Amino acid sequence: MTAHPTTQSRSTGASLALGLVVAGAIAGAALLWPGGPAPLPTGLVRVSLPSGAVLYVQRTEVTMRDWARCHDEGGCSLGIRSPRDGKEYPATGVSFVDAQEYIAWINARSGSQFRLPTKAEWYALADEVLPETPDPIFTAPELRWASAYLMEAPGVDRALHPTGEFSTTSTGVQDLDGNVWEWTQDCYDGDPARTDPASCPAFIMGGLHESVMFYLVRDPANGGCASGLPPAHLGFRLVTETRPDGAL
Amino acid sequence: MTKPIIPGMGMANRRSVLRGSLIAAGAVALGGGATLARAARAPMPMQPRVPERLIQIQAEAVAAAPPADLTGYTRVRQELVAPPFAPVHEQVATGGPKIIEVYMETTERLMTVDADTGAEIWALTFNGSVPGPLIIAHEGDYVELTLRNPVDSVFEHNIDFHASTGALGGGALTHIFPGEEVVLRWKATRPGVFTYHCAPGGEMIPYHVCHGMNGTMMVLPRDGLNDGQGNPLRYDEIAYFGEQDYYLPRNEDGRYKTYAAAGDDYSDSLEAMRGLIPTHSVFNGAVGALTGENALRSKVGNTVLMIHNQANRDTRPHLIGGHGNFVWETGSFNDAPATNNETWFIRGGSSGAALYTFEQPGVYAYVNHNLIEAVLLGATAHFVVEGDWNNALMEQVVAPRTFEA
Repeated sequence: MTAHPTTQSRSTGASLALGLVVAGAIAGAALLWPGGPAPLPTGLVRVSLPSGAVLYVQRTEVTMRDWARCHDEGGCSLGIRSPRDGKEYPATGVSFVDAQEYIAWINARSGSQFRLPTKAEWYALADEVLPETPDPIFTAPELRWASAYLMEAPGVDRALHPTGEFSTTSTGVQDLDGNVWEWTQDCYDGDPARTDPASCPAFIMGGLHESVMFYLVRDPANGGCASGLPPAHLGFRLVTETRPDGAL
Repeated sequence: MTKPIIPGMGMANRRSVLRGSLIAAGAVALGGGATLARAARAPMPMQPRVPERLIQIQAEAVAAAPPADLTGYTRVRQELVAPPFAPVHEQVATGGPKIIEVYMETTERLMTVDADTGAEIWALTFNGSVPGPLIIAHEGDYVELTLRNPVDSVFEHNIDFHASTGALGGGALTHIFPGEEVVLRWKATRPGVFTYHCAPGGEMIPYHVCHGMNGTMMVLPRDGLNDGQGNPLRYDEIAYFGEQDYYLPRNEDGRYKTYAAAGDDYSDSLEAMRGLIPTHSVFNGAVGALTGENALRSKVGNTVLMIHNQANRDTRPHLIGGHGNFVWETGSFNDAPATNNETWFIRGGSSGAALYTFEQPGVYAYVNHNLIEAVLLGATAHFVVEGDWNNALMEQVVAPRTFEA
């Protein structure tokens, strides 16, 4: 799914993403989103990373219920339909831009500084529950384009599960080995020097296998000439360095 | 209640008794669906689908015909296998003509269509798979099918072989209710690949076909395939694709409905089918049925015969990264194949075949090249091909790099 956009589409897309974030933040700060107490992401877990840094991490992915509140208050333009079975599900079918809208809303509403994790943070959190990486099926350099093709099923089915049905890490973080791939803030770009998210065409996703997703994609359809099995669902969870109220 | 008349059901007393009870059971099973139907129009009156007089004419003609002369034929049994594979067979016929015995069951089963969205269907199948199994004979052989409808089925079934001649492709002679079996023998007089499908009558025909009940019958020339100029064409393997368009009903919230039993979706399903826009178009019954761990495997130098069946709707297969070296687009092996095609056309209600020899290793995608259907509706399969890369055919001269403005 790593379509390489032209320089033009890159800058257009970036300004769109940035514009939404900025607009959301300004609107949030100015209006403070009237109505009700400020929501905080629920179930934050304090985690010490191998680097020594301390991070407050959402125990679960942002849920459909969380998302519905953002949508109802006008912070998130995308509406997500929930199954009517009374269970809580992760909010999926969200692009990088959608996730940024949510972050702008929650920070403006709660006065916090939540963000997406970096790739390094995400994999440090998930390392203990992720399966070992299978060997590539093609090793010849000319076949590097096909070497990531997944012949082995990643061990889980692709149906969306209720929140909390997959593994829990020793620090209490859930579902990192589930079938929802999570947006990170790490840009995927041919030029390693160019890492500004505002000019980034694609981002790395944390999940059972590392994946790169164009920032506007909500559903990585399982078909076509993508040489491999794409992520089943796209979602996200938030992290922050600043201890919020209610954190464990 | 006026008893409906069903083709092929007018003669046997046992059948009439059975039919009465089954129609009653069917009315109970379908009653719920009928009351739930949103359609404002009046329910269709139960009417004979073929006038009784015509059924009588056919029955009399069948009864009056002399028996077929089967001297010189050898009986062989063909063990059918699930797609995308082909049964054991000869490309060039040896010995005299055969009577090929095959056995199929009309199985109704719940199948996942797309695990990502939870889409599923109570599929109506031949032998439990979508498509039904590939059957192979040679020109001049007989196919002798035993078709059995399990006792626990909901529906009446039958089979129409486009390759056969007469009686609605055998459909009029093969109607079976749950707990019945039938044996049909027909002569393969034309070489080619042909659709077969269930066609019980009326709106049941598209309902059954769009619930998976179709497949390919291949009739090879006795001396095998050729290029139309007398040069033989041979294959190392067969990849058998059945493309299935599904029309799955949704709830008001946009999610796919689930049903407790076969037939419970009947009225919803017909309503969705009237829109003509499928919710899914998939190879071998489900999104991803032939990708990832289920991808087809081959190697450089191997020649594959790709058989494509679409019993209902037009499609246009394309092998991304390869070609159709020889293509029998309409399915007739008496016609010279087209050569070096990029994309070929499969008419709804037919099978076609294309022959290709892999020249490069890697991943190939075999798609319906309406790319909306390939990617968003699911019509994609993959070949994973082993071998050595040939730089004389293609080479990445410069890997992606940044450049100075």
